[in-house]
Amino acid sequence: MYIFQIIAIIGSVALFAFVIDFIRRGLLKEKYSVLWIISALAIMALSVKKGLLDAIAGFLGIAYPPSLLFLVAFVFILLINLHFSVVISILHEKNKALVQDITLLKNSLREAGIDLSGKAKEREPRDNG
Amino acid sequence: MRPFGRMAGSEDARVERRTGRTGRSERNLESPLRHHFYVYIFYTFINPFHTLFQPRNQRPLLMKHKLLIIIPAFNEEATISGVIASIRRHVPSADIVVVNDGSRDRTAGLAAGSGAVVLSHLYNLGIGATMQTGYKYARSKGYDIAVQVDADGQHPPEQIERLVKPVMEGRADIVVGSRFMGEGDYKPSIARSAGMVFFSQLVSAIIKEKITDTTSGFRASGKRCIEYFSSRYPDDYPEVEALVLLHKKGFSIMEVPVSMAERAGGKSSITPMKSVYYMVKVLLAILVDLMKKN
Repeated sequence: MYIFQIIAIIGSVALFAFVIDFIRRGLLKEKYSVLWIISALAIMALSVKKGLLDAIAGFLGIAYPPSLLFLVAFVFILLINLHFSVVISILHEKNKALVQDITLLKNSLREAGIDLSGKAKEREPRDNG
Repeated sequence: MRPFGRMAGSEDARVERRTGRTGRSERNLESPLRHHFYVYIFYTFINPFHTLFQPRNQRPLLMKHKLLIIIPAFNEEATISGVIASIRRHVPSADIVVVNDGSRDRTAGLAAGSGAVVLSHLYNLGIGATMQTGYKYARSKGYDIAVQVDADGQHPPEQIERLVKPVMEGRADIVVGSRFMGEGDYKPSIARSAGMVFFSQLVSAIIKEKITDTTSGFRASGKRCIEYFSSRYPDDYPEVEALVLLHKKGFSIMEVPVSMAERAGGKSSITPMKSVYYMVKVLLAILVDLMKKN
């Protein structure tokens, strides 16, 4: 076993551990974690089974196997970027609607004579519960 | 009896009687009560709509339509008070809402001080979202007509009536004030003029109706438009795109000639660098809108 293979295995395991840890701590939503888990598993498989990349490259007719790795990595990053653009666009729309709603709500409160700290100007009705 | 005269006529008669001076009208002197009675009968039963028949310059613009003026504002402290005062003078029956898009100057305070309702965004959202907040407000308050007026003073309030009239009469869902229909002497720079002509041609071709000023932000929308805009309004540089969207939804669009002033203060939001983005963005948006299913 080459030194590099050991480093690759350690690296892929570390990536997998990071992803799991981020999910566990709530920093990464499960929804967005699927892609990362799959990619971590793929890297792990490639580093453990040395001949795998060569076999796939040979099957696809690619003369230089590492170029397959670059291609896959590039496509993966492209897709995840696209995914993020979609997510950001959705967030932008929701964010806009939220601010607009807050703006109108604040105005309704002001019309009702309630200041923005949430205190009513008149005495609040006593709770008889 | 002078039914078109003001009530002060009878006031005169009473003053005359008290001071003992003989006035101009013997009949009023004899029976001021009867005069009051005639006036009451006339205004209550015979002509309850007397305010409609006042001379033209005194007639309220809108009797049964609720009118809202929406002013989007971002750092417009130099002009906002003047614009609001001018609108209140020319269109006294309208309510005014200033949508403050996260200004860092005194825009909000000055607008509130001038008697407008101020809606302040928490932070800057851009012109499209700012206009939409105005339309959402108009819908929630049940306004019949909403007019967009810029805060920089380039839209003359005395011409609001012109925009509102076709909407009131049900002749159009949205009325755009055009600078290029013979009124005023607006002369854009060559580059801007080229862009405006290009969009005018493009939008006219899509809508199959002549639109001379697609980038004008001086517009009056009827109830259906307000409803639609509060559900969907383009984000940045929305004017051109909004027209295409409205056409796709089957709204009727109309143009009336207006003359616009030079901006009274502040500076245009469109710099040369941004104008390239403007062209690309609007073109793309129009293409996307045409492709979208609904």
